[in-house]
Amino acid sequence: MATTRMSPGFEARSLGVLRAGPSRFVARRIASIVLTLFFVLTFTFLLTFSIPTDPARAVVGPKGTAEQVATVRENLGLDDPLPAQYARYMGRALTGDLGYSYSQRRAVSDLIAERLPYTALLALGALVVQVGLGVSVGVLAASRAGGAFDRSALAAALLVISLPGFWVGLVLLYLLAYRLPVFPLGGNDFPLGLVLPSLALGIAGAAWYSRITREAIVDILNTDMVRALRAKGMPPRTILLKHSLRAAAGPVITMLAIDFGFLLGGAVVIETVFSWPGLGLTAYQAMQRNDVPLLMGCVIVGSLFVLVLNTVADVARAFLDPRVRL
Amino acid sequence: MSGSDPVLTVEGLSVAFTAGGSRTRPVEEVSFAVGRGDRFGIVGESGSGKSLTLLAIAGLVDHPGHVAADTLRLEDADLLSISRSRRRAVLGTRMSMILQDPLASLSPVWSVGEQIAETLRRHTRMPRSAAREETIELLAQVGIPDPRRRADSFPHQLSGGMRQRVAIAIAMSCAPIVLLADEPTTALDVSIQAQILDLLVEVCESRGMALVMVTHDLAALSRAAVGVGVMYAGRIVESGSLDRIRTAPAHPYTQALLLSAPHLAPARARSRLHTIPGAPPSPDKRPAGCPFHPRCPYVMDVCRTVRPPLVPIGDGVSAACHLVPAVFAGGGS
Repeated sequence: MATTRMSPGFEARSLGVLRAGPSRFVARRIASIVLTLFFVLTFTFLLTFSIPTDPARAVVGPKGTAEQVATVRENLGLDDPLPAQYARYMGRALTGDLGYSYSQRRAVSDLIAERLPYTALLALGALVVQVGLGVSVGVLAASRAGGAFDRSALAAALLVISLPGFWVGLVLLYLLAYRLPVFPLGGNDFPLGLVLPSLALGIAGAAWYSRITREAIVDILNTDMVRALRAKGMPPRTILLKHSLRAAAGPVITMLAIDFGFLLGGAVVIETVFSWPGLGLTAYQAMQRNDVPLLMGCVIVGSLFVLVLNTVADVARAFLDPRVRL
Repeated sequence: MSGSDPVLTVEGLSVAFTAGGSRTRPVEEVSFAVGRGDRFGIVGESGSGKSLTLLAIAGLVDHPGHVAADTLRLEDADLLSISRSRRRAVLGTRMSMILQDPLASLSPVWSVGEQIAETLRRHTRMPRSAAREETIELLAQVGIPDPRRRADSFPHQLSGGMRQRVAIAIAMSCAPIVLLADEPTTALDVSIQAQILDLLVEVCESRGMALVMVTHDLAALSRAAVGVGVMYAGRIVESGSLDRIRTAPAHPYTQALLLSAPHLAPARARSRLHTIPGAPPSPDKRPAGCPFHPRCPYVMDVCRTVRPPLVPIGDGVSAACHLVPAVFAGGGS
C-alpha cells in the first residue's frame, strides 16, 4: 500500500479520499461481513434448537398424527446428528437457499425477495425523516443556541424520544388517516402510504439526531476554526452550513451506522401497526406461527442489510471528512 | 512609530465580562495607534488580556463579553458603530487575523486551496477559476513549494509551518491594511518560528500592511516588531519603540520581563536569569492602585492606592508608573 495520498483537483476531491486505500478497505470489509454472517448463521441455527417447538409438528399442524410427524422429521432430516444438520444448513444458506416457510408454503428466499424492497423503502423513508428533520432542527437550534427555538426543540425531542413508536404510529393513524383522511389507514400504497410509517419509525431518531447535530455544531461554533472564518469575513450561513455542518457530519454518520439495526427492530413494530408488507411484518408473522425457517431468513437478511448499510455509512463518512481513512 | 496618519487607532479600549452579577474587565483602557506599514507588538504574560485585545479590535468578542472604547478606528471606518454586515466586509479585506494554532483555525474538511479561494470569492466576486489561479499565486508567495498541487491538500496533510503559511495566505489574500496576529508562532516548532516571523515581516513590507502581533515570546517580538506595547493585568504599562524600550526599560515590569529573557536584556544584566516573583493577578482579583505593586521591587505607598496613568516620558515612550516620571524628570531630559 502506498503511503502517499494526493488528491487530484478540487472537483475530484472526495474521490481522492477514497483512492486512499479502497482495495484494502473493500477486502477488509468483505472479510468482516463474511465473518459476521457466519456467526449470525451459526447463532440462528443454534437458536432454533433452544426454541421449545417441533418444526415437524409445525409443518403437519395440530391435527396431524404422530406417524405424520415422524415422517416429516425423517424427510427434513431432523433426526440427523447436530453437526450433519449444521453442515447441511450452512451449505444451503451459501447457495441462497434459506429453507421452506411452513406457514406460507413457499421458499423463504422468494418470500424475502418479495418483502425486502418494502422494508428498504420504509427504512429509506425513516432515514429521510431521521436525518432530514433531525439535522435541520439541530442546525437551526445550534444557530441560536440557548434561544427559544433551541429550548422548544429540546423539550420536543425529550418528549418524542420517550414515546413508544407503535403508539406514535397509532396516534398518527388516528389523526391523519381516520379523523382527517389524508393518508391511507395502512397497506402498501405508494407514495402516500409510506408517509405515516416513515414518520412513526423515524421520528424518535429525528429527535436524537437533532440533539447530536446541535451538540456537535455548538462545539464546533466555539472553535478557532469558526473564529478564523469570522475573521476572514465569512457570513454566518456559510460558516454554519459549509463548514460547521460538514465538520459535524462525523458524529451524525457514526450514529447512523449504529442505528440501522435499531431501525430494522423498529420496523417489525411499525410494519405491524401499519400492515406494511415488509420484512418486519413477515418476521412478526413468522414468530406468531412458529415459522422458524422464515424467522431465521428474516434475521439473516436483516443482518446482511445492516452490514451493507454500515459499509455505506463508512464510505459516506470518508466522503465528508478527508481525515477519515478507509 | 511612523509619522504618517495612523491606520488603526485604539483609544481607551476595554473588554468586560458580566457573569452571575459579577463584572470583570480583562482588558482596561488600552490605547495605541499603528501607522501604515508599522509593525507593533503587544507583549505580556498569559492572562494579561493581550489576545482579547486583538479579538476586540476584530469585533470577535461574543456575548457575554462587552467591548467599549473611546476610539476604535480603521482608517476612516469606526469599528465601534459599524454594522455586522459592514464589519464582515471589512474583515478579510481591510483587516484580517491570524490565530495561534493553524490546525485548529483551518477547516479540516476543505482543501487549503478552497479555504483561500472562498475568501477571494467572497470579497472580490472573482470567478472560480480566477480565484483558483490567485490562490496558487498566494501559496507561492507564502513560500509553499509546488503550490498547484498543495492547493488540493487538506490541513492535516501539511506540517505546522505550512499550515501557518496557509493561514497567512488567507489573511493577506485580499490585501488588507492591517494584519492582526495572535501568537502566530506559539504552536510551532522553534526551528520554524523564525521562518514564519520573517515571512510575516516580508509580506507586511512588500504589501504595505501594518502588523499588530500579540505574543508572550520576547524573541518573536524582537524579530517581527518595531513598536511595542507591554501589557500587564489588562493594561498597557509601557509602549514605545522596541529598540528604546529594550535598551532603557522604564517600567519596573518591563525591566523584570527583559531580565527574564537574557538575550534581550542590557548586557550588564546578563549575569543570571531572573524571574518575576509572584504571579499576575487574575482579572477578577486585580489589586487597587498600580496592578503591579504587589510584585514591584520599588513599590511606594502611592502605588497601593492610586493607579498611575500612561504618560509620555520622552523619546516616544510612554509608561504607567509613579516612579518613572519622577526619575526621568529628575534626570533633566
